[in-house]
Amino acid sequence: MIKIENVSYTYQSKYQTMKAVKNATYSFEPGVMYAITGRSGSGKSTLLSLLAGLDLPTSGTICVDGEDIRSINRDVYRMKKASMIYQAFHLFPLLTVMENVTFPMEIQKLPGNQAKERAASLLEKVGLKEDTWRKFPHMLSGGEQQRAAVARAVAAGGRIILADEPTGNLDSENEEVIIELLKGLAHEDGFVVIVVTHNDTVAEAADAVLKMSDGELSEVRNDCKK
Amino acid sequence: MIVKNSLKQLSRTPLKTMSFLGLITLACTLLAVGANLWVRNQNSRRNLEELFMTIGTVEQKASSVAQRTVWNAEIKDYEIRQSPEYAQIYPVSVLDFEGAEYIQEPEKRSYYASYAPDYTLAGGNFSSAATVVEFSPVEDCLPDESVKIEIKKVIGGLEAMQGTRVFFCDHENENPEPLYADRTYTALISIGNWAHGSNINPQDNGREPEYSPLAPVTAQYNSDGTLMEDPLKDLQAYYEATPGFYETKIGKRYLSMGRAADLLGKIFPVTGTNCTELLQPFYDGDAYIMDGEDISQESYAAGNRECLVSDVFAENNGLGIGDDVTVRLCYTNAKYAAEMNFNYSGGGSYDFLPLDAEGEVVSVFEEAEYKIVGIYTMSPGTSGMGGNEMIVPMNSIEHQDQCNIVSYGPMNHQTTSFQIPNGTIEDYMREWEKLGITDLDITFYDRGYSQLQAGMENMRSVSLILVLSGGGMGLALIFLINHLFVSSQKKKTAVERCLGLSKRKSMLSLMAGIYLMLIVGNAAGGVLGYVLAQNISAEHFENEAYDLTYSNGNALGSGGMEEDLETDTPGRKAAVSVVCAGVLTLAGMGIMTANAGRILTAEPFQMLAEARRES
Repeated sequence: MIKIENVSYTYQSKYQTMKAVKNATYSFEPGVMYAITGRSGSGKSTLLSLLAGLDLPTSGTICVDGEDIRSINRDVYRMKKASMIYQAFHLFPLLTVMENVTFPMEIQKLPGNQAKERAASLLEKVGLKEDTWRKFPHMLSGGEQQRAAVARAVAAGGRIILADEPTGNLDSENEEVIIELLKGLAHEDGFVVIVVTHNDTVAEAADAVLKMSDGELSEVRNDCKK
Repeated sequence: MIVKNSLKQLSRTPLKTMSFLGLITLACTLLAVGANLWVRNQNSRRNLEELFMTIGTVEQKASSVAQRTVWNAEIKDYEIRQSPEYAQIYPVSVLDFEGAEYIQEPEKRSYYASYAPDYTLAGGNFSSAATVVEFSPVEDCLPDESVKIEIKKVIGGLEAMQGTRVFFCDHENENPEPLYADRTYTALISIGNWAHGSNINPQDNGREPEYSPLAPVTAQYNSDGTLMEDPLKDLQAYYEATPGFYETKIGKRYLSMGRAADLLGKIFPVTGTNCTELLQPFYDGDAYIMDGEDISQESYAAGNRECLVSDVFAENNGLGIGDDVTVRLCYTNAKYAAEMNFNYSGGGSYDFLPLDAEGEVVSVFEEAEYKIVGIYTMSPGTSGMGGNEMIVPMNSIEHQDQCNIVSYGPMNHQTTSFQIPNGTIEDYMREWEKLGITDLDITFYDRGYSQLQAGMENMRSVSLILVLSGGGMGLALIFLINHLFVSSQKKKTAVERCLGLSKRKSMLSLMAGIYLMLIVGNAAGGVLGYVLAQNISAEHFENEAYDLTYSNGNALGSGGMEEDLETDTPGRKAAVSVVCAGVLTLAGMGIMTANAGRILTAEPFQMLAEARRES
């Protein structure tokens, strides 16, 4: 579903040029949860951002469902195909949990009632009780906030979930919940789930583990190929 | 939806939103009030500039006092007479110095005598004018005191003296020649003292005038003020009119003097100037145009042959606006203003006779027709204009200060004036004092502009403070809001972009609330500013009126005493308030939209990275 070929990305600042991703080539399939591990600064978050269409690779191609990401409207790509989940949740602080989840649907001009129904269903699915829906993010625990973030990512309707250290700010109990949610999205709903993590537990839970080292991507394990 | 979400988020920080709304309102209010005061101040200043006028008059002070002893027949002793002496007579060009800024250049006005045998001139009472007579004493006598003489014949001057008996004394001569009753004498006489001596009834002493003889000398000046030489020397105060006397040079001189004395009764004075209001009576409002209009500045500059005449002259000669007056200039008085020799009500007094240095009566040196454009009059009880005085553009006189100069003197307050911009007296004097000339006395008249100016300066300062504080506060707020609501919202914007919001919609999401806040805050500020400006006007300026008693509004014909100055109408205040609110709103929108646009040029990935770094 997502195929990257010889993808490189170079940061260029006033003072230095740094190649964060070097000739990465890989195919990400739906129904599989991938974990990308590696040291800090190894380029894994950069690769994830490129997969999310947040920027374009310096060279190489990223094809989603056979279309080069360069040739499509990346706003629409992010709106309809790929959603991000962040370590810091990045919920809108001045919108309620419900409003956060309906936000991506509203920008797709889904009628308000339908958006709310779907958001309610997603919030239930991620295990957030109804009494939390009208709360603002800062009133929730970290785990609850990340669950809301997962619900928002799914609400957009895309089939690609890209998570950047989604359990980085969570305790082990909530970590497990999020891992299960992500696994469920891959295995039950057929999402491509790519998780960038330092966390061994997350990596172990993934169906495939990739490693970034100095910008180079390599596959460590892929249970789906067995 | 985007706008709704943006406003929703704004409404969820009510304290912050209301605080900024309040601050924007306050800033706009200050700006609007300040700007209204500023505009009012500027308009008031402009009005004041039109109404008020600052002129300076110049008088040369004597550098020393000359003393001479003169015999006084009344006290039988010498007395000291003092007269001013000038080391040099300054030309008016001395006032053309570096740093002097003039609206009207300094001018030293001579008056010119126009020979007018065809016009009816107010006058006839030349009681103190010199008259050339033949006389005989009533009895043999020594005129070292007042003696009675009989006027046998008036050769020129006051015809009414013919046949009269008057007191006579060679007052300043210690050893006068005796007069014999059987002889006839010729003299130029004028009233000089009160009668005195043994021939006076003690009860009448001091009541009757005494005539004194004047030596028949001539006084004609070159254009540089030097006195031309009289070819006749060692002249006596009176001569015996022996047969053939009038064939002699001295006798002929007396005949010329007689004609010259007669000429004085057929003269009206013509004053050349470059601006009517440089004449003190017009500046003060004592003289004002009652019919027609002032000579325009264009006419003054071009030297058009237009004139202002007095109401008395116009009435006596049946003249009106548009009529022509024939002007025949025959002599120049470069010492005094016309008022000094011609009484407004008629008659006059002279310390000269219109003779040239050779003793011949002056002749017309310039003749032209002048069109009457205005008729002026004097307020009752005031003075300053000469009888029958005509005002013409200085540039219309071709022979300025060149011909038949019968009197010459330094600049004085009546003859020399200039106009400077209002409020520049101190600047002018500072530059003037650098020249180190101490014997010119400059007096300024500004109709109270200086006092008003202080108030205007205060108002301007206050308005400037308000404008600067309002504008500064507004700008500071714009940058603060820009920082808090735009720059610091990178993460939110990045997340929105990550969720697929286009740049345009992200911009809308970011700016909708801010735009609303700016519009509402500035609109409220504009309204408040307008209301406050209205109240300030109502309380402080509504009944403001400038007393125009001493303004040109009076002098040049309005005759009004007070006139309200409508300098800030509600419409103008509203417009200024709207402009202030608009400027602040547009500035805020512009600055913040530009910043948001700059932020949105970055890819969401970079935006997130930046937001992470900044947090």
